[in-house]
Amino acid sequence: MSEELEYFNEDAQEQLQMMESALLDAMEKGVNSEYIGTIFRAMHTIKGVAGMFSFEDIISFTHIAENLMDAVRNGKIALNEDLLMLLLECKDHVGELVHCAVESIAIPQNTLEKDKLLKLTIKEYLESPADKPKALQKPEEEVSNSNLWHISLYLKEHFFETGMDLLSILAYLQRLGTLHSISPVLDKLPGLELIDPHKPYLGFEIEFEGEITKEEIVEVFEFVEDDITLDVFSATKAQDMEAEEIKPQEQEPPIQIKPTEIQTIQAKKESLVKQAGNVSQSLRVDSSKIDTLIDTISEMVIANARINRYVEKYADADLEEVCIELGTLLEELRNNVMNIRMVAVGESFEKFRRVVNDVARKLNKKINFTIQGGDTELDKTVIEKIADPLLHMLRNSVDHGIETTQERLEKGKSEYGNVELRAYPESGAIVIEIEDDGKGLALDAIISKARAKGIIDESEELSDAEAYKLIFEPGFSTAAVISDISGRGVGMDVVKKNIEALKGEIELQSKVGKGSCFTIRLPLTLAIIEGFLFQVGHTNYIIPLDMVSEVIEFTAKHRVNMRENNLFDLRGTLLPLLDIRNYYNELPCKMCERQNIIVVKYGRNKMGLLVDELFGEYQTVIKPLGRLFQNAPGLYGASILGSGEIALIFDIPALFEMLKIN
Amino acid sequence: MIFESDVLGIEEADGIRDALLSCLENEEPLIMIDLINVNKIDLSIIQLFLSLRQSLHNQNRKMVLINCTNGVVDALKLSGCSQFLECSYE
Repeated sequence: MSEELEYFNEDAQEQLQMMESALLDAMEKGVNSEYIGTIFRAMHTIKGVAGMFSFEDIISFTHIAENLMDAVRNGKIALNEDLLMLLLECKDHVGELVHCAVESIAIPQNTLEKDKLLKLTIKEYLESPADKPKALQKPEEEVSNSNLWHISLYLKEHFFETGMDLLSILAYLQRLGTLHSISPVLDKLPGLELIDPHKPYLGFEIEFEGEITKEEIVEVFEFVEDDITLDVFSATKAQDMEAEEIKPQEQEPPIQIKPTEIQTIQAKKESLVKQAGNVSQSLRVDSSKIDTLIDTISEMVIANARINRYVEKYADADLEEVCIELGTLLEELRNNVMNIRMVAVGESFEKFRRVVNDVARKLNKKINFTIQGGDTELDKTVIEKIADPLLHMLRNSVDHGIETTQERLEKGKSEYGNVELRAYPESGAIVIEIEDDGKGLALDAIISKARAKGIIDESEELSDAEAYKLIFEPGFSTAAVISDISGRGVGMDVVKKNIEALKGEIELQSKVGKGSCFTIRLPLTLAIIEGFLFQVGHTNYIIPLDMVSEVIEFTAKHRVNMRENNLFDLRGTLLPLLDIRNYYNELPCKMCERQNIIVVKYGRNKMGLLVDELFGEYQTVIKPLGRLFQNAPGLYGASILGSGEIALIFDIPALFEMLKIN
Repeated sequence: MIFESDVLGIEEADGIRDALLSCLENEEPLIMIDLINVNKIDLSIIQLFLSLRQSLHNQNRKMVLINCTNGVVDALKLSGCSQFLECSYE
């Protein structure tokens, strides 16, 4: 796929997502002009950009959908629930057309039939007076409002390199109204001996008439906005007459333009350039380029650690100062680059609204779906990988969690079931929760089912937390009826595996009759972390710094307590203590003068790790462990230290899990 | 001169400029550019034709595009350049 097509695809998907969100908002909260505007603009923008690529099927369909939305916008047609559903179908259909266009594949027969059917339905809406609420009807003359516009268009130096064809854009503009005149400005065009064929020298003065606003004209050129200077202003009939004067005489280049007009155009162009400087604040970059950048920075972090070792070795004050500065800059650079990868979860979450809406309709349930913490940022890769598990859990919540309307009313609950998806940061991780106020899960039913399926023994006693974890076992399903939406018992174990693959964990809390809450904890990023470096025996270890609560010296008193029960007293609270040396069979460290306890926290839990030497904060580039270490308990990855030695990174959630600390 | 390509765009611009320069170097009073094979041209090529026309104008010479296909005529009209470039239809 070419870069331009990729851009078109991304832009179209963005527009369709905004359209879907507006449609769902309109269904949930009621129709308003903002939603109508968003839906209209989505169809209009996709049509405009498709026009530049001559994607006739998309143009043809979005044009009629745009007409429909225009009629809604002008109050000719009421945006009722049926029409909202139809527009959702239109959105899906445009998505399919865009897919076929960007992949250069023929449109399947069923899509063509759908196209015909949707167009016919839209046509009926447009022609049916029954759907035109009288109160909203406006006199015809108010709706029909043809405007005369003057458009000054100049190509910037790199225009031809963009690969965009201005003629396609002009052809699209022509569809929106009447091009009364288009006059090329040739005064900067050199003779053939001096011309650079890759540089544009032309400008255009255009007289255009149509039922279209200035913003809509600017939108036509949206795809090349950075590569042109554009000025659009209303032209009265008198101005139109003046414009005629600036048209060149037949066959007589160059064109003569009044000096005052040139100044006006130039001033407006400069103003537009300034505006463009303020407005254009985002840049689309291939994510693989950022990955490469992160890899390079990771190597720089390792190299910097090596330099620091030399600084320590040679005790050169000047070199040390430079190294400190370099280290600070490197950390800043690392944080900035990592931030590029961080994406607000909201955009991804918005896509779930449609799923919840569709599932609820199919099951004839009424659902209030809310999203909280959409601004919470998470690594883009993590967001992409978590989408499927979340989708599955949301389907489950609506399908099995929320009762039918009748059941809810009988229980004295609101007829609307509530499903909330929320995200928030916590101790260096991101927590995502899916909570519903449905029927909840009965512990005894889970345990009975697990026994019946042979997942646990008849005699096995489980805590509540352990019992809830059974639903993540392969083949487990508590649903009485298996539906086509969820409940085949093949989902939650896969969900858990996917989350664990992201170094995250999932837990469930539930109360019968009150509802259930799935809590997922995910690491902020998968590439570089701020770590805490220490030594046990002859091995270096690292813990994510955010998970370190405090560090205390291991005293004789601690030693006595530990012998008895592997617990230690932290200001009156007994916490589990894991002796890392014993756990990993490390040899004693003869050089180490004292032992320390690192108190680590994860979620609501804390534990102590008994370690030897402490080295402190360390920028940690996470490298995956090889196949040999795949099953090493409680280890997450490794990092290369400045000395070239390896440090093993603890997987704290896994340690809590292994030690069954809850 | 006659162009063989179906589509003339920015990728061909260097080669077309060289070809047009060679036309400029001969002293024929009228240069005929045959576009019978060309169904699509973009603005970079139209710009080259306009540039050639300007150079010829300075030498009191003329040019004409002959056998223009619908695609070429539409492009010239749409860009407003048909008023500067004389063309005969296919």
